[in-house]
Amino acid sequence: MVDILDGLDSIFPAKRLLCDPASLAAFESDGLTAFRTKPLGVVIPETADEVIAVVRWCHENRVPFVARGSGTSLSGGSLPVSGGIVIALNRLNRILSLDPFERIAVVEPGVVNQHVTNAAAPHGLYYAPDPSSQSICTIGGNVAFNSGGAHCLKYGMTSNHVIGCKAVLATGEVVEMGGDSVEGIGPDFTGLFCGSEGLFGVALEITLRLLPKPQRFHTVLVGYRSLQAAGDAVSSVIDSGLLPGALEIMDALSIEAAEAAVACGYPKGAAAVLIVELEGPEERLEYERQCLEAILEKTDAFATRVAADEADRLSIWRGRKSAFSAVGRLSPDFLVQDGVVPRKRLGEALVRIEQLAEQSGMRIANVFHAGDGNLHPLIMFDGKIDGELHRAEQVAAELSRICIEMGGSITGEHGVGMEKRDFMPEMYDAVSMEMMADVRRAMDPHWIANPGKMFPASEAPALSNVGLHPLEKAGVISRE
Amino acid sequence: MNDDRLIVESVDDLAKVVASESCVLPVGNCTKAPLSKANQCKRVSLQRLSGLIEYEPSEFTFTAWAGSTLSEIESELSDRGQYLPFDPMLSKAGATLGGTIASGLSGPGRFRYGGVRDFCIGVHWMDGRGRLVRGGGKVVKNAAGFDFPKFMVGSLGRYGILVDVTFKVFPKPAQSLTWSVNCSDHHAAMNAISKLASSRLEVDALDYRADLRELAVRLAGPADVLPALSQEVRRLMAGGQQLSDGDAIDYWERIKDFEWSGLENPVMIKVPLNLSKFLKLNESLQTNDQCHIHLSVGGNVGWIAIRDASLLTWLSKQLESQGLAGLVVGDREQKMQDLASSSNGGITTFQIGRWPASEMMQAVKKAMDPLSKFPGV
Repeated sequence: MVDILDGLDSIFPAKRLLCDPASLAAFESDGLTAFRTKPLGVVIPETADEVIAVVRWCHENRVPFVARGSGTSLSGGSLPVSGGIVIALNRLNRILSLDPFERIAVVEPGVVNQHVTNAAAPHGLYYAPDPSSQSICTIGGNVAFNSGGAHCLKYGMTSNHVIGCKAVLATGEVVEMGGDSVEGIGPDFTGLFCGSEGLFGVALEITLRLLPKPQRFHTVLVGYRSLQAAGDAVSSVIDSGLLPGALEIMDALSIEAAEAAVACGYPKGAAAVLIVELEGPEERLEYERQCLEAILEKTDAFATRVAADEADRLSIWRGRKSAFSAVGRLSPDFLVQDGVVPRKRLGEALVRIEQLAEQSGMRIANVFHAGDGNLHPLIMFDGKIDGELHRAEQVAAELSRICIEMGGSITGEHGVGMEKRDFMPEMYDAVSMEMMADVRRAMDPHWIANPGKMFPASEAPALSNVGLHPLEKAGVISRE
Repeated sequence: MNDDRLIVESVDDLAKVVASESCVLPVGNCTKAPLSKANQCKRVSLQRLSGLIEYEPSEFTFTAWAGSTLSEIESELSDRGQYLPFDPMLSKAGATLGGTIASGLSGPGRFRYGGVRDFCIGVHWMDGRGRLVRGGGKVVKNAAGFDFPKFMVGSLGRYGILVDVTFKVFPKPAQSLTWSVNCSDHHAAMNAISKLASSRLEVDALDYRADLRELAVRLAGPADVLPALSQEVRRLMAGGQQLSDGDAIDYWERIKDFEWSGLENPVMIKVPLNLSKFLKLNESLQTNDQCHIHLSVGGNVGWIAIRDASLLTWLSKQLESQGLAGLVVGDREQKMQDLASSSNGGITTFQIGRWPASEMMQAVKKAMDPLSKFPGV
């Protein structure tokens, strides 16, 4: 037992208070494998009271802590802090209530995203936010990083579906924000808590709103000879007044990767594919299907595949959802970016990415949520070659700057975390950064809650190797 | 209300007011009277900081000065086939974007796609030192930094002065259709709401006028598909009738304008609810025939209209006993002021029932407004 952990052993039995190097190794990284840090210890609470107790212990002893669910953060958001505690929340995985009459669910933070939808399904309901890691990522992490998914254009992000939250702040204070109505009064503390990247405290109970499952889907995969043509098609769909559930584009390199990984059967020779998904009651869908057909006919498409049934629809999505991990087949290592640009500047951004690829000599595959301008360039490199990681990071940095310069954002859905914290002062001016720091201090006077994330700091841990997350390699999770 | 407002013409003017006054309450056109005053505070109106700053329809976003009226913005959006789907409140009376965010009011359309909190994606506000602070951004998807735009929803001018705001917008449905159903009792009405809300129909708005036991179901979309969907509503509800276009417009406008109750210039209170809480609350309120309740947003918001402000004390107790909070938002005739001057010790603030309070809330207020330039919370 490390001395500093004295006191924690009265809260946790030995098997749920891990200090040995082998156990700690399992927690030293998250979905952003570029960073690795060994924490001082890991606690595995089974109740909210245990979470409150460990946070209060951290507060009293000024020990930093990082709350962690499944560790799928792509921004290093759940990276441990050297000399700190990891609070592993996976055992707080109970759906405390699911009320089909009110269409809400109250869950613990360790509940897996997909499990909410599974529990709601018998009632014809579902939980809308669908990050690609939804089969494993937890609601607590989704709340902390305001996770997105492929359906954000129409349905918004996690925060649009969280209506209440009970949390223990870094001060040890237990607070209840929002409630069981989608409307509130007074400032929206629930909204502020969502996306605060664990810097305020730890969510204990989260109230989610559930939506009726769409009756039908209409999913179309369209092949284009150029990225520009696919981008133009997106503009045509948007300008038509349709509001698709999803509008996704993949370029040739990402198609090649997905094809190699899951044989998704995308149109051969396509420089880009566009996935459009409409959803809703069948009467409306039939009408919108015809509108979409007329729009797509006028675009420069050379191949169109309409999902014939649910299995076909899932196979179209399989190619898209596997794209990131599939890139691992093309390159030993890659970095994934998450910038956002105004939709009308997507074409310009893609040209800049192409130029960057040429200048750096690095291959960059592109997958993006075209409907909301959210780019995911995948910068491929070989970490074993001296200096390659550094060059890849420079390319990634340049991409973040391009997004800022174009009036967009450095992150659409992965969060700032460790990865993009140095760009925050480029996106927000000094006064706005100061305001964020002041609010953070109000919630956490000693900066013990997930320190080193979101705000630029000098406490960066050592870089380690880059590559697929072990769970990605195993095909368990994929990235959005 | 005595118009003692300072009306600023520019952001620089605003900064000067903030620097020179010890306490400032930002207002727009004061359409929500109880929220537009604070003791010992200079009211500063942003009504002349108005107009669109940026609007790119293909981005589904616009940025406008906070003093822009909803009606001018809605008109610009409508010209391009777009809208704010949450049926912003008090548009006809002259409500502004800034006031809509600060009061956190959303209308019946909040049911389908979300409310002010879901569509406000970026803000600049002036803090107590006269500095412009940014929260959020101008793109529809953004996870960088704390979500101050959401926090400002419902902030009641207590944390800073909204200067410009960015909203997400959606394509406007071609047509809408309203189905009206009389329910046998309130339980049946709540069951009907739950059933419709969980149905495949993607209902656009779902409101219930309690004293008439009348449920209104709005469907929106392409004209070609609405008749078929409305037949499904008829089947699910085992009856009802379609309102004429004129009646339907009138019905929804009356809710947005606080004119549904039949009372002249009522005192209007917003109470966040759900279906079960409504049933309990309605039971305790229906003993008083001077008190009317309209349930909006599929059961999530109760609008309570009372004739006489002296009823606020009674209403506050009812809410308190059920753990509910109320925001007094409508009081065009300043009935609460009369109450303040009377000797019965009645309620004189806009907060009734059980409002949330915590050390954290005070700490955040202190962090964002360390000079106490804005009214307390």
